[in-house]
Amino acid sequence: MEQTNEMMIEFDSRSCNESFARVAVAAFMTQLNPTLEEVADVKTALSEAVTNAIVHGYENEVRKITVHCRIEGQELFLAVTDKGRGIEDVAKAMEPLFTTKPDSERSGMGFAFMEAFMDEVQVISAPGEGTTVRMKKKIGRVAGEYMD
Amino acid sequence: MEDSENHRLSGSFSGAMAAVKRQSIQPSGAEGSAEAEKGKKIRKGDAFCMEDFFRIDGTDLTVRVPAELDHHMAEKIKKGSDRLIENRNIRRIIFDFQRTHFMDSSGIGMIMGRYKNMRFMGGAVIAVNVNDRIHRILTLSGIYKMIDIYESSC
Repeated sequence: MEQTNEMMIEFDSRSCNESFARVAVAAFMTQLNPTLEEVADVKTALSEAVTNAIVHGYENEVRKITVHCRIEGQELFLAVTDKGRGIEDVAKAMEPLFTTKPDSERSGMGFAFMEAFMDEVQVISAPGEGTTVRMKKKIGRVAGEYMD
Repeated sequence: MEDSENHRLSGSFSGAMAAVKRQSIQPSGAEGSAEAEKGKKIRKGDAFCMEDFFRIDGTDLTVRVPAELDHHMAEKIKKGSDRLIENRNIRRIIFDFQRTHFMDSSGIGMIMGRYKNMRFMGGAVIAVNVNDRIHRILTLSGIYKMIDIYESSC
């Protein structure tokens, strides 16, 4: 049977918690024996999702963000959930350089970065109900490969 | 280890920002003096920390980008550099990525914003000491078309 492991964290949607979420997920994924680059990729993608929840989902109001992490075999699954305003047109939101907040210097590259650094990105959202971003990445190196 | 370093950096940064605020706007009234009182306690390290992030050489503003440039730090760098640009005659912003090992799209947004401001005033923006990771992010975002990137210090 494939090995599975799970963890979930919930924190306030404050920008200072972005680094906390990154470090927590990075620490959790170390059991997959990832390369430094794989860790950096996951951290970047997660950071984008959490920043989106803070800036767009809650529009800087302090509420709760949940990060759910699951390991199945060599695959890492992430789900970042907010109960904020939701996205009306997900396809439009995912277009590179599209942003609803150009004035506050959002680059519109968030989803593009998530897609670049993860294998799969799925967005589940309804206006007024919130957004969940699900991401998947296969961590290449087989655990214990370099051990005797 | 990495996390505590960040915490220390961000903490000292707000102190540095408070120092700039006090320089430009003299606080008046009860509220202002209370803020000044609060500021006094952390004043000791302020001057050093301010130098830690921003350095001005003639018309060049060097921004020493922190270890992790995310939304949280990008907002602080944005406020700090804009205040300096407003008050000083800055013609070039140099983003120094020497100690940076993490950046996301919020960092891109911040650099893009500074680039727009500088171009409006006829200035330039460059990035120096860019490592592989940061280079990848800058390339992916397309920002390399607008700013010059150097792998070493220029």
